[in-house]
Amino acid sequence: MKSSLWTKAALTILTAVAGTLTVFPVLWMIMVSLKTQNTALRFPPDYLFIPVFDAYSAVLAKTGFITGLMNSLIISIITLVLCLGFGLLAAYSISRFKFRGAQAVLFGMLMTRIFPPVALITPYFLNVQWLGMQDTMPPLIVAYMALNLPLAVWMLKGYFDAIPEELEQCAMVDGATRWQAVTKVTLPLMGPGLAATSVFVFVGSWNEFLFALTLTSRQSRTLPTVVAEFVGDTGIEWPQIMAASTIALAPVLIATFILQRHIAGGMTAGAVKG
Amino acid sequence: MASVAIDGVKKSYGAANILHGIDIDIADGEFVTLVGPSGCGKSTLLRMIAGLEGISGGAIRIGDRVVNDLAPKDRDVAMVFQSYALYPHMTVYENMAFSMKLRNASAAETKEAVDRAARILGLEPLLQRQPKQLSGGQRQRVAMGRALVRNPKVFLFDEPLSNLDAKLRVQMRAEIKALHLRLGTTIVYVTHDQVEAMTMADRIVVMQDGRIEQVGRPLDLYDNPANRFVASFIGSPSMNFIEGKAGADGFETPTGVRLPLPLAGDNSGRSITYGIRPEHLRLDNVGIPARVVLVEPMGSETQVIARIGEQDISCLFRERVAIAPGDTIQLGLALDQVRLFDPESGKAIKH
Ligand SMILES: Nc1ncnc2c1ncn2[C@@H]1O[C@H](COP(=O)(O)OP(=O)(O)OP(=O)(O)O)[C@@H](O)[C@H]1O
Ligand SMILES: [Mg+2]
Repeated sequence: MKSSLWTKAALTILTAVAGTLTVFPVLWMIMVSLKTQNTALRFPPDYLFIPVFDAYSAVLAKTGFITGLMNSLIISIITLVLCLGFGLLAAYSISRFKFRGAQAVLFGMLMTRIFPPVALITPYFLNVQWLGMQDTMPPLIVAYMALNLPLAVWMLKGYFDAIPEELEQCAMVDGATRWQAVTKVTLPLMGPGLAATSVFVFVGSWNEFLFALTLTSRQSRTLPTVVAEFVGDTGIEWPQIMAASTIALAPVLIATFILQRHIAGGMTAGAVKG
Repeated sequence: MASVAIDGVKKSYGAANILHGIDIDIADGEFVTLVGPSGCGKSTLLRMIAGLEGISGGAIRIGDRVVNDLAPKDRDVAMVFQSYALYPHMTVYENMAFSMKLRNASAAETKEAVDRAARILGLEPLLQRQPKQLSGGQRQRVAMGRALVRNPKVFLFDEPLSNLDAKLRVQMRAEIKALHLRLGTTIVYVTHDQVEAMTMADRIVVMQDGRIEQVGRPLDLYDNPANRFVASFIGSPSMNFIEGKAGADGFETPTGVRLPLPLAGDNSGRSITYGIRPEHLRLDNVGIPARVVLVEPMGSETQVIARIGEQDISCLFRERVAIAPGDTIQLGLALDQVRLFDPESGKAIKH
């Protein structure tokens, strides 16, 4: 009993440390975003202060910021939809049909993640230039799909594997087509998996910086590159850059909070005996 | 309702041959059980009838239609899986209504069918529960209920009772049998429990290693097993086998024990496996001498392990017996209940 108490205490402390390390930068960012440049740079910092929203209104008024936000949303959502669509099809067939080369396909996908994206950016840029598609969204969407699809397939395959195939077969004997069996039985049970995969893919393209910086200049700028431009020659407006970052982080945080209930899982309990 | 004809059906996974040509003709309304040890291919054969496994050779007919290339949904069979396979995100009612919904049945029609099946299986109080809120036995009933909602041509059951405790198993066994009498639908029932097979089936198919060993009515298999495997598989406790040779006056083991041999003609020197069921041995005043090793009283009957020569054999007595380990007893047997097998091929020797 005593040792389990110690274990509990140690785990609690570790969790607290890990939690603090993760949350502190975010809180700091929000704090600074609510100050003025003057109060933000004060040392020691004020932990209690009257929040002002000047930085937010300045950021939103800045040319290109709203455009960047919209671009990021459009690109990330299209990437997400495409990745889930193709990812579900690929993952399903790898998980359920024991075809020759399934493992090779899976490992081939993993290999693509070994390449550092930096190594791909120059040839990709030249191709995009040749097509005359600089500063448009499709090349970014294609790149983000290529970067995120392997991850999506790997994750989704794991979730498909976790759903007993007999449930689908039972549905098919009950009179369902394979499509109906998957959409009415398997996918509803994969809620947690779909949620987790969606968050990963969305964040992957939402946060991407390198390709966005290289392939866009004005019209199709995404949020990370817009935020980076806040660092100008005249010095850094800390509250503004923090306000922009907070706005950039918001959709991801909101999505994660909404979905975490589903990610918690436990939905297949009771499916099979034992 | 329909007959099922299985005609030279084979199954292989790559180079591994799992079923080597299975022939079974199942009549309309018949209750057939497939029995055999684990891994012999029972589930595989059942899944092939349902359309969940491809057929590597031969043909399966349901009614007068060859179903080899028909999707499971078009075969009009209902199946209860070994693992129950309840849809975890649906209530018991929705589980049972699922197949009706897929057939675009009206709400009233669906409700009626589900209520009828629920009444038969005593599921009415559970209809709004989720599968995870059910006990193993209740889940098993729901799985059964899901099949009963429909009026299929054939019911396929894959060891539906294997997860229940002994008492519930006996009860469900009776319920399934009563159900079959009432509905008269063709049933193919897989089990590795020979008691289930004996008590429920019109006919039993005994399988081993992807082959049929024997097909027949339960008591025919018990009385006239075609080979040693069937003889040992059907009946509990299992038949005793004694190896030896036919001598001048009867059967003789290498240790010199003599047993009466019901074989006409001169068979001197022929190797024979001598089979006798435990329940066919009785205590006698003059008979084969045996030393008692173990006595297991079970109330209704007494099982005794006794040593003849160097071999332990089991005996089952209906009466209470006053014997203890170490005693010497005399065992009698009726000649017409002795079964003889060829030690090489295992085939029964007619006599
Ligand atoms: N997908 C598969 N690939 C290769 N071999 C398989 C596959 N499925 C089943 N087998 C093999 O087929 C044989 C028969 O399996 P099956 O499930 O039909 O046995 P069973 O008679 O139902 O056994 P049990 O009583 O344990 O359920 C087994 O030896 C098994 O290893
Ligand atoms: Mg099986």
